[in-house]
This record gives sequence, structure tokens and C-alpha cells, in this order.
Amino acid sequence: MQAKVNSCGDIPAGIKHKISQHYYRFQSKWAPYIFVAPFLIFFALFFLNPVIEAFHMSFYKFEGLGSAHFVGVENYINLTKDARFFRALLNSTYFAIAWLLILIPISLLLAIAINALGKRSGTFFQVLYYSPSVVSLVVVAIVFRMIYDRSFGFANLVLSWIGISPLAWLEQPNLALLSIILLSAWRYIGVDALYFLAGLRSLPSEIFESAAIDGANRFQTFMYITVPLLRPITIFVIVITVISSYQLFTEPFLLTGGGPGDATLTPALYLYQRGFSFLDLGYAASMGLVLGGIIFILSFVQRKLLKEE
Amino acid sequence: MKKKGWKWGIVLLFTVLFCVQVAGAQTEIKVWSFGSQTAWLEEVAKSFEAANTDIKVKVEDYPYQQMHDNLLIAVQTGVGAPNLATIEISQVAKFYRGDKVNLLDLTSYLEESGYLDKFYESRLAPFTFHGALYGIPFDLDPAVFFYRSDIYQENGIDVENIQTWDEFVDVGLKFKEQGKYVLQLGNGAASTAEWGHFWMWLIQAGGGVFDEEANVILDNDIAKKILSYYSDAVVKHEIANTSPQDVGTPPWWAPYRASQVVSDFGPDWYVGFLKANVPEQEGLWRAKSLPAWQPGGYTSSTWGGTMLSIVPSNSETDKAALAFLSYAMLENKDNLVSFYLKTGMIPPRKDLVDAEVFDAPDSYFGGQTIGRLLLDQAPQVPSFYLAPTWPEATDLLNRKVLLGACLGDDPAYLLEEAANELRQLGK
Repeated sequence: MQAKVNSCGDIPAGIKHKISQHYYRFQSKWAPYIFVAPFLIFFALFFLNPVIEAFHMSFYKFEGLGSAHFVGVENYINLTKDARFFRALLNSTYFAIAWLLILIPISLLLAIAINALGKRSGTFFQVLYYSPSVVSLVVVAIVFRMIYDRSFGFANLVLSWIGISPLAWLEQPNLALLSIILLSAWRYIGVDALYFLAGLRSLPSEIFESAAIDGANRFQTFMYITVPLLRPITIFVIVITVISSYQLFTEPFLLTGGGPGDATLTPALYLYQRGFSFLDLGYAASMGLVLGGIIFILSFVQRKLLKEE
Repeated sequence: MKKKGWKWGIVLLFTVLFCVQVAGAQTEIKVWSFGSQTAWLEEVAKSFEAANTDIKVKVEDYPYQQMHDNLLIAVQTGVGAPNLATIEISQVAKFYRGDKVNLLDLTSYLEESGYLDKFYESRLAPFTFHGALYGIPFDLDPAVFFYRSDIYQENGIDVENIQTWDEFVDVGLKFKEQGKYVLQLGNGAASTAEWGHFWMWLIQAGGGVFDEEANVILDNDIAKKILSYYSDAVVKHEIANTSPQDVGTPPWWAPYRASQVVSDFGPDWYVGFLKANVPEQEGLWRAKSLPAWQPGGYTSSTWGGTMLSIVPSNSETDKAALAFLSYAMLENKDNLVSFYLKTGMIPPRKDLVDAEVFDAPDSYFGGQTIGRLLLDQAPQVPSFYLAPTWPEATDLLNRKVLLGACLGDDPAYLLEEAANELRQLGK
């Protein structure tokens, strides 16, 4: 009799076994939900709820603060005729193409260089190249405004050393676009290099040893082994770069405000202007949903491409 | 019995605490602010609380854009709005949109309390919409002409002889030969570029973007004349440097530091900007009233401004908010003087003319009594009006009008295009 009484005191072992079985069943059934509940609650509150609300708002025309009337799909129809919105999308496409041409090759080369340096020196350069991405964008924008200043900026000083006349970096449409591309490249090359570095370090060394035994030189090893094996990372970097270019807001907001004219206007910046400066909240909501749709499609393409890998 | 006594003790304690709390209940009001007036509001809040122990004032400081965006969201949703808020003049018109202005109409309060006549009318105009006054202005921002006395003297130019802006062109041409500019103007290349100089010229000449009835007047003859002058100063005469920068950022001031720009014109807060951004030129700058557009015309203008408004909530907090607003900005002249001392901006009140604080010599301006000069311009500040489409108007001014003018496009065409777009938006 005594053997059936557990150490907790007076609960019979049979009942305790039943409780623990019940508890185990309860735990295995509900524990996953409890674990994901915090995320789901925040997701519903701060993502799903605003999306539903934005969808609802996109069918209304707001007349300033408070009052609104139902207009059906008029905001979406107006969006298809809005030259400024299409200009903003085109600018984002320019950003995406330019970033891909600059970011991917340079960050890959940087990652290879850091990888070749060994752990101690490599870590130092990892931190060094990553550091621009942790600096406040407001500070970065003020500094770059000084750098790009037509009369007294560092960029024109450097150009003067090689005999090039001063450029109006923030005043000429193409140069203003280039100014933001260069700022972003400076800021994110280190981040992309880290992705590539992680990819490089995960590659199996046996393949490289086999290649060396087979007589492949460094260039051949890079072109026919390293680059193909890094394809999943490359696709990932390409997709996040393209998505970032369509979400771009802070850099043009602080550096050019979308100008000159609409040369550096981005969809997110235009959305902010329509929503917060002009209080055209319904139109801004419809723009946000269309932009969200574009980004969703790009993410979907990424998933498909990665699955193929 | 022992246990029961312990429970009763707790009940008694909570009852006492509740009674103490009820007896000492305070009405708390929240003030949202940005920029230089926040420190002054905090100071005034302390002395107000000492005199009104039943009201607690909580002043919260925010960055400029964040405060206005948050305020709009709070007013729109009806959740989390403060009781009072400082609203900058370029943001005011957003509250004029829609069928209702969600700010307290202060007209009757000012009329009944007798303070309405103490304000310069020109400053109340932009904060008044359809006859209702929605805030008390902090500052008048009268504009004056700033110049480098050493460089002007070296060139034998007596600024007192520059009576009109047309005469000023000749001064500009003289400096142009030395690679110097007499002005720096925003070129509209960025949305942050300054359009303030165009604005100051426009209202000094008697123009504006909107008239009192909110009609668009941006394409009238006055505006065309002013934009032509602006464009000529940049493109034809090349006497003005251009910049895409914001006056609040250091790059705007680089040509001043290099003595490339030797004069400018701006409002009272320009004094602080000059001192902060060009400190090494202390003692070299002087100021005077603006040249006029025609003999006998206005010799001042204005740029910027902020008002303190009440966001209606409930009768108790509205009453407390009104008491604080009245204490801070109406009843107490010492508060207005301390506002000037703290911010360098001129309060828009006629009854401050005798205050000695404005007669303090300023070493940055070679001992000139800059406060008195600014205050003396107050009657010369012209009125102007805002309308619900003001945000679109300022966007168009930068993005199309000034950008085009600095590239040499036809000023009349630029203004007509912008005015028509504004009229279309206003329908």
C-alpha cells in the first residue's frame, strides 16, 4: 500500500498517473498554440488589423479629419491614371537595377576577401563593413547632404582632385537618383557581404579539394564551383534587394524629399505625402495595398526560386 | 477573530487611501510640443502648477514631424490626443480640412477677455478660418535684412541707400564681380528646399497664395512680378546663390561661413540660426528693415510661426487647458518676455513695445539692439491667409514653381499651372 503512495503525499499513484497522462495530452495538444499565441496576437493586432482597416479605408474618400464617404473602387481607378505613382514605381525599378549591379558583385567580392583573411582580421572587417547599417539614417542623411553639397561637399572635392568640375548632386534629376543609390550601397554592402560570407563558410571544403586535385585554378574554382554553390544566397540577396527598393522611404525622404521634381520619388514616399501631408487617407491606403501586392508577388517569386534550389 | 481583524485593517487602509486620493485629485492636462518653445512651456507649466495646485501640466516634447503626424492621427481617431498642442503654421491648414475643425474656437474667449486687440492682426489671420480663431500665436517672426557690415563697408555700400528691391539688384551686380552673392535662395530641387524667401517677398508685395475667402491668388500680377524677380536674381543677374538644402541644416550655411553669401533676409529666428551656424562671424553682421517693393510699401514680412491650440476633450480638462493657455500666453507679460529670452522670437503682442528687454545690445550684431529692430517691424508685417489646400500649395511651389523658375522657365506659365492645379484640388 505504501509503495503506491507517491512522494508528494497523499495522492494515489494511479490517480497521479491519470493526471499526468491528462496533463501530457493537454500539453501536447495545446502547448504549440500557447507558444505561437504571442506572435499570433501581435500579428493580428499590428499587421492583420491594419491591413483589413486599410482595405476598408481604400474604398472611401476622406474629406480632412474625420469625415469620409464611400467611393467604391474610385481610388484604385485613379491610381491607374496617376502619373506620379507610376513615376515612383519606375524610380524604384531604377533603384533595384542599380543596387543589383552594384551591391551583388561588390558584396560578393568583399565576402571572398574577408573569408580569405582568416578569422581574426576577418571579424574586424566584418564589423567595419557592417557598421554603416547601424548608424541612424537621420545622421547619415545630414552627413551625406554635406558630402553632396555643390560648393563645399566632399564628393566634389574628390572630383576636383581628378580634374572633374563640381556636380550638382542633389539638384540634377539623374545625379539625385545616383546620390541615393550610392548612399544605400554604402549602407548595405556590408550587410549583403555578411550573407555571402555565411554562404561561403557553409560550402563543403571537399569540393574545393577535389577541384584542386583535378587542376582547377582559382578563377575556375570561383566561376564553376563557388558561384553556382552560392546561388541560393544570391537569389535571396537579389530578392531582398528588390523588395527593399520598392519599400525605400527614409533615404529619399531625408536627402531629397523625392525631388528634384519627382526624380527620387518612391511609392512609399508618395504614399506618406498623400496620407499625411494631403490627408488623402483612402487614396494612400489603396496605394499601400497595391504596393503590398507588388511586394507579395516578389516574395512569392523568391519562394518559388528557392524551392527550386 | 485575529484573522478577521487583519482583513478589516486592509479595508480601512484602502478606504483611507481612496479618500486621500479623492481629496487631492488633480486635473491633469497634457501638452504636446516641439522645438524651442518646449523648454519655455515646461518652465511656465511649473509656475502655473504652483499657482493652480488642482491642475497638473505634463509637457511632452516630440520631433517636429512626429508630433504633427501623431496629432493628426490622434485627432482623426479620437484616441490619445493631448489637451493642448503647439501647431506649426505650415501644418495648421491640415486641421481646416473636412466639415469640422477639431480644435477649440478661441474667438469669443479672446473677445470677452479683452486680449484680442492686444495682438497684431496680421498674426491672427493665418490662424483664423471662417471667422474662428483656432490658436494663440507664439511668435510674429518679423523679417529684416541681414548683411555683412565689413564687406558692405569695404565696397562703399551704404545699406540705408537701398530703399527698394530693384535698387538692390545693382548692389548684387557689384558683388557678383567679386564672386560673391547678396542672397541665397531655395531652388526647389528637394522638398526640403526653402521657399521662404519667395514667400516673404510675395506677402511683402501684398500677394499670397490664398485670399481671405480662400480663393487662389497665386497667379495674380503680384505673384508673377515676384517670381520674375526671383528667377532673374538666379538666372539673369546671377546675384543669388541657390541651394537645395534646408535652412535648419548646416549645409545651407556653408556659403555664409565662406563669406560667399554676404547678405540675406529672414525672420526673427534667423538671428539664432546665424549665431549657431556662423559663430565665427560674430560682430560682423548687422540688420536693418527690408527694402520695399515700391516707395512707401511694406518694409517687413514674415516666415514661419506656431500657435498653441486646445484639442477639445471634456469640459473639465478643456477648462484647465484654457486656464493654462491664458496664463502662459495672455495674462502674464513676464511669460511673453521670457518667451523672447528663451527663443529669440518676438511675441505678436502690441503691449510689449515698452519692454526694456528688447533694448539689450547684441554682440553678434556689433552691439546693435536687434530685439528692438525686430519689434519695430511688427506693424509692417503684412497679413496672409491659409486654406485647406495649403499643403498641396507648398508642395507645388517647391516641386514645380521654384524649380522651374531657377531653371529659367516662364514665371507666368509656372504660376498659372500651379494655381489651376490648386483650384482643381479645391473643388
